[in-house]
Amino acid sequence: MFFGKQGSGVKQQMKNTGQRTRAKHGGSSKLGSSLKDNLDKLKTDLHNSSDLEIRPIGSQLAPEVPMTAVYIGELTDETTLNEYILRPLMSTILRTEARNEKLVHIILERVVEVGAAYITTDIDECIQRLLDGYCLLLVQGAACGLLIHISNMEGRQVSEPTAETVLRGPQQSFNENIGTNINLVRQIIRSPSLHIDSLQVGSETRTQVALLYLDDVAEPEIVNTIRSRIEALQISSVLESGYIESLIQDRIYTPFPTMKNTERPDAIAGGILEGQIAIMVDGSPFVLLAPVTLFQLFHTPEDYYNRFDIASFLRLIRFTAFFISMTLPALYIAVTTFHQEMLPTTLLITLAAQREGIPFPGLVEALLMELTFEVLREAGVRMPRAIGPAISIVGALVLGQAAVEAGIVSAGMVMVVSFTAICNFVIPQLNIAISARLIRFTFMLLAGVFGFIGIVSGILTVLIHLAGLESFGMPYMSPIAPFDWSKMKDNFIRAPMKYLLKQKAGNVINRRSKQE
Amino acid sequence: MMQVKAQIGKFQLAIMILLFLIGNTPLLKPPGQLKQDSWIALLIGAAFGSLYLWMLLVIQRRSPDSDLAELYQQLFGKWLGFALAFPQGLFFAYEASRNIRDFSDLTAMTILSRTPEWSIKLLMVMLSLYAVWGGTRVLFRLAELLFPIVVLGYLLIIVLLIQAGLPDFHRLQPIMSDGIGPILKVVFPDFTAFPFAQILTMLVFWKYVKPSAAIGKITYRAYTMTALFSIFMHMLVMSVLGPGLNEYSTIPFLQAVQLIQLANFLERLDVVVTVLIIIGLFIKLSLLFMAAALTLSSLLKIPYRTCAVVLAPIIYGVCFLEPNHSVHQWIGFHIVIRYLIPAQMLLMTVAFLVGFFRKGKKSSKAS
Repeated sequence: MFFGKQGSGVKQQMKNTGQRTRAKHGGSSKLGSSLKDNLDKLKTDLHNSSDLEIRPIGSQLAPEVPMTAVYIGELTDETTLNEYILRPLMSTILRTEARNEKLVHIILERVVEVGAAYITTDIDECIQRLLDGYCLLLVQGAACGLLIHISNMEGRQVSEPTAETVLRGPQQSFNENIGTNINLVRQIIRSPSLHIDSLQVGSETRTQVALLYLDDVAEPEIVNTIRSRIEALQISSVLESGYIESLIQDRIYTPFPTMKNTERPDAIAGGILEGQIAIMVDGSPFVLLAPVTLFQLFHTPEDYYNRFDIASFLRLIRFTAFFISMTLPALYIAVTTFHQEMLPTTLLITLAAQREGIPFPGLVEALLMELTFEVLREAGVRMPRAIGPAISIVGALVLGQAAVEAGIVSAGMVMVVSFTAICNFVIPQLNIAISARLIRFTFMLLAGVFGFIGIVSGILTVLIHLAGLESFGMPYMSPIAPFDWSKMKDNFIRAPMKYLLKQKAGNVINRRSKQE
Repeated sequence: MMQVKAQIGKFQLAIMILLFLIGNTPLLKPPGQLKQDSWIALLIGAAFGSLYLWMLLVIQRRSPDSDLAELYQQLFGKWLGFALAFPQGLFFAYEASRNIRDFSDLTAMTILSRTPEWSIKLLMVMLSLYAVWGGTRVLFRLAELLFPIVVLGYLLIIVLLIQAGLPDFHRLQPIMSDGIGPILKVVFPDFTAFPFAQILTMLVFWKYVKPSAAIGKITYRAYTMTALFSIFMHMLVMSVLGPGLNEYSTIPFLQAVQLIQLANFLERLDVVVTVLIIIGLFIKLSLLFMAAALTLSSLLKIPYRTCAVVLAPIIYGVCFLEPNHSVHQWIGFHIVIRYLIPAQMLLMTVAFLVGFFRKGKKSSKAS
């Protein structure tokens, strides 16, 4: 289903939903003028749900006309309903001769004291809005209903980021509510050109998805690609932004993420300002950012808050750590199994002395330890907080120290595995860190079979794969292949802010003049 | 930001030429009869090669949107063109297979003496099939990704060689002790055909380069840089080893690097050399493989991926034909360099002249 390319906001989105549900149910979907019929229709469509509240009202406005407020009790805010809808309606001294549709207009204009309210004739829209936490006001004789926003969705407060921490910089993170999340970004970018597109995905969950981008900086082609890919989704549910990520990415069979996800509003704002497009999914604090290059996955917002020299140094450390976390165990296997002559003699002797009495060949030893570590790590994520110390004691003492003392693995191997693990933790994006972990095992097997040649051909395979990878039409290895010198100043290193800001401003001006 | 399929940038072309020509230069060991003067022969060979390159560029400029197969057919007619271009495609594949052989022999000699050769060859064929499968664009991007590694590797080796005080340029003396005669005798084809004449492969890819006006300039620059670099490396190795030792070592470059010792720690830089050679050979192999696949696909009008899949087992099989490394080298020097590549060069000269006549005819008709 491809809808209008320039869909703007709620109205467009409602039209979509209408079409979709109508296609499902068939038949008429307009509100009739009989109040009873309308109520019956609503009840059937909502399958007589027990939390559907139907509240008859008698208003001073037109005492003989029956009215009814319909809402879902669990989704709405009782106080708003009482104070700003029911009380004004019942206790108004206003009296009018207007009837039917006109009466509804008068209620909207002069009685209801809630900001977000509008009139509709579409029954599917009414049902959708009831499920969004609106209150529907129906009037006998009027073939339309008044939808009033009184929703009260349970959620948590904005809190500190847990997955991405920084020492310097804003300490707030997105939460599960898309409204709050848009609010947080709008607070940072107060520009009229910040564009927000709302879409709805999932025939059952009807999850709201929002695209955020700067109109004059983002590539229109990429925006359209992302939007049409999301609109084309025919799925029943979206529970997290990961659903969207895996369904709209360029290539499925790749260990590398072609979108960044972050829970930090400043990271999202930074990306939007550079022309990237943020994809927010209601119910998930992790907002997607696309398109990205491989190198951008190693950038953190803090890089821009620190001085440029230390930021550049830390970036280089991260890239090195990524490389180490992919290759170190493989190198260790290759060196101990095939190429002992590569090591300086004293180191070789030390290693050989350690490995004396170890029953396994290098590959098995390494696989054993790496798998153990992966299990420990998974345990660390899954276990309840309270038994955390137990895991660390068992992990560190029993598996580490005792295994060496028992002569099952060598001390060198334990060091290699630990350092590899620590290197993996340095990588700021969890999803790229995971790809390093997966690739590591392949490299280890290759090293065990072909030694050094195996590692090199493994790296070559990864590079070939990366060279062909694209993120929404943008080459994944972008500033290197194809080479672009102007982007190199914010890639491996972070040049002083003076040069970067000039570059960004330049982009905006260029794009503006192009559009004119 | 957005890239159209199978389009090559200027910079990508330059880097590919550099990597392709430098490719297996570290393995290059020119015939020994010239002793310390072989770099002069290399220099003259490069100059000859640039003449050849000029011819190729003229041929390409006449019909900038044609690849090698189409050029053959345009210049020699449909059937003769086919009969000439088909072996050309197969020759690319054969050269690719020679690279695999080089590679497996090298690893057997240096770092993996006990691993069966068939597995290493299979690994290389699969790897380059994967690269070729991705297409021209992926291949040229890959070259860009590998380029920094190659540059750093060579820089490291050069710096360490010089730091260790190994090169002694007196070993290059006396220059031309027997006059220039013996040099000129062997310059063609021994020093021209390899590696410089292999620039022919670029004829398959030039049509993808945008902007096409820049092709000539970029290619000349990259070619010159490569030539100078090869000569420099050759002189450096010769000045480390001297003509005698150079003659007796299988891979002089490796031998020279093995002499490096730094603070009792960096003693084994063979790894760096091996990585450089693997990357060089791999790029060369994949580009030749790609050239073969593209040429055959353009001739037979079938998708290049099909060609690649058919060619891969052939390439794999052919590299087993030679019983040992000596035979491999002998065929390299005495058949490929002496006859096959010169024949190819002759063919391109004829193509150059044919095009010249045709153009003359056309312009006389037009006027």
